[in-house]
Amino acid sequence: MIPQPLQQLIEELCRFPGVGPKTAQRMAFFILSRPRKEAVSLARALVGAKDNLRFCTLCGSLTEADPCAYCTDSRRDRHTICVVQEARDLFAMERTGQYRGLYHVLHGALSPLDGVGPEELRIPDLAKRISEGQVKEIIIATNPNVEGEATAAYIARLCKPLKVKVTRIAFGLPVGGDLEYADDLTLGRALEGRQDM
Amino acid sequence: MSRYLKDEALVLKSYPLGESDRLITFLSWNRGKIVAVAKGARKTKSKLASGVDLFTHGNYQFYQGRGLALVTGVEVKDRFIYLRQDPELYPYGFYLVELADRLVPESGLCPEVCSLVLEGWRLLPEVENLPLLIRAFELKLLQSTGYSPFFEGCLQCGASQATVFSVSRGGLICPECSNERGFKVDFLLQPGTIALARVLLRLPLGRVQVVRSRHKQEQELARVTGSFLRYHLQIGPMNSLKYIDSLTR
Repeated sequence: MIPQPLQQLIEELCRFPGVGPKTAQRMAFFILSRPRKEAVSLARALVGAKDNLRFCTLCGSLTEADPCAYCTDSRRDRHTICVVQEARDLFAMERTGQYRGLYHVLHGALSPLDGVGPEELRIPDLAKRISEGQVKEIIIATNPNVEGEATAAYIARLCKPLKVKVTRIAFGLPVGGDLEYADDLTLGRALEGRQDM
Repeated sequence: MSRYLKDEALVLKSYPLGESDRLITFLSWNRGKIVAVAKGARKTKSKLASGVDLFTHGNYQFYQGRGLALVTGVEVKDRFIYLRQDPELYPYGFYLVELADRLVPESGLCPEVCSLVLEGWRLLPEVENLPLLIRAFELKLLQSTGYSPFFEGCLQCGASQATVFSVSRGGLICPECSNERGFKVDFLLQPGTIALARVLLRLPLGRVQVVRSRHKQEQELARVTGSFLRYHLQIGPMNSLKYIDSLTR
């Protein structure tokens, strides 16, 4: 018979993606084995993140203050917007350390099967930001799968009459991979996007 | 029985699963629907990733363990790149998928449906009249799954002058039979719409481009097939159709 508080903890941990009952049980026992202050710190971090984070009204990224640090940073290039699918993609772009413009998070990709159309995403907000006139380039960094590419194509078409340059991040081979193992589509895209040396 | 399977299939659905996997629904020529996990397909270095993307046709290898099957290999035959690059064609490609997915039962064999979806994807960039291709696809799909509506004459007496379509009866009824037996009249069809439905049912999908039709007839046929799908197959409003409507509004 599992004590009720432990059972409740396991059930709550089971809600996490990729966590089944066995993993949840292992996590629960790990939490119980640690000092009380660590459990309190974890609980505070959970509640704190939930209570203090919101989406930036301008770019849609996760932030404590609205507008977010990216949108208010005067050192960033305000003429370029990088469009990403999810907030976590924004952090991936930031990790490169090579992009210094603004962002726009769509919160998904066009998916007719799931009933996700342009209105369900933050595409109208993007159009509004572009029409304000300051933006000169839109970099589309949606995922290189069907939904991501269709979303990119839709945004590119939307931006055409707005007279802004629309670019798409390059497709190609992952660093460290062997050429012979690359699939034909990736290799084909890498050839299309080849650069002068 | 070997646990390793090989089959020619189309990728119908693909959803993220766990940390880096994808859960794929295939429509295969010899085994019907196959739900399988593509391990690590969301990783940038995955060999499976591009082969299990939507709108892909290929030869797949699976390992059937105790749980869900695993995708172990893929040889891509066609990718239908235009479906992802053209925002107008994209939802139509999905509509073919959604309709086939709903019409084919979980354990049913459906080589004709596979061929039909494949043909539909191929035709999408070629035809000028997309709604007509969709109507033809709906009718051919109903025909190949055994639910074809009857447009050749009165269902009761065979009279060729039937113009009343009864959704519950599944076809045309002549006014006399309709009055005598008190069948519910769902649609009073124009002769042109009936002729269009007959032609679309008889012609192979690939010949739909030679058919000339009027917008009004296509709309009338869309209402008939929509009601028919709802009544006989409990197929309610489809997400992809709503998406198409929202774009054309």
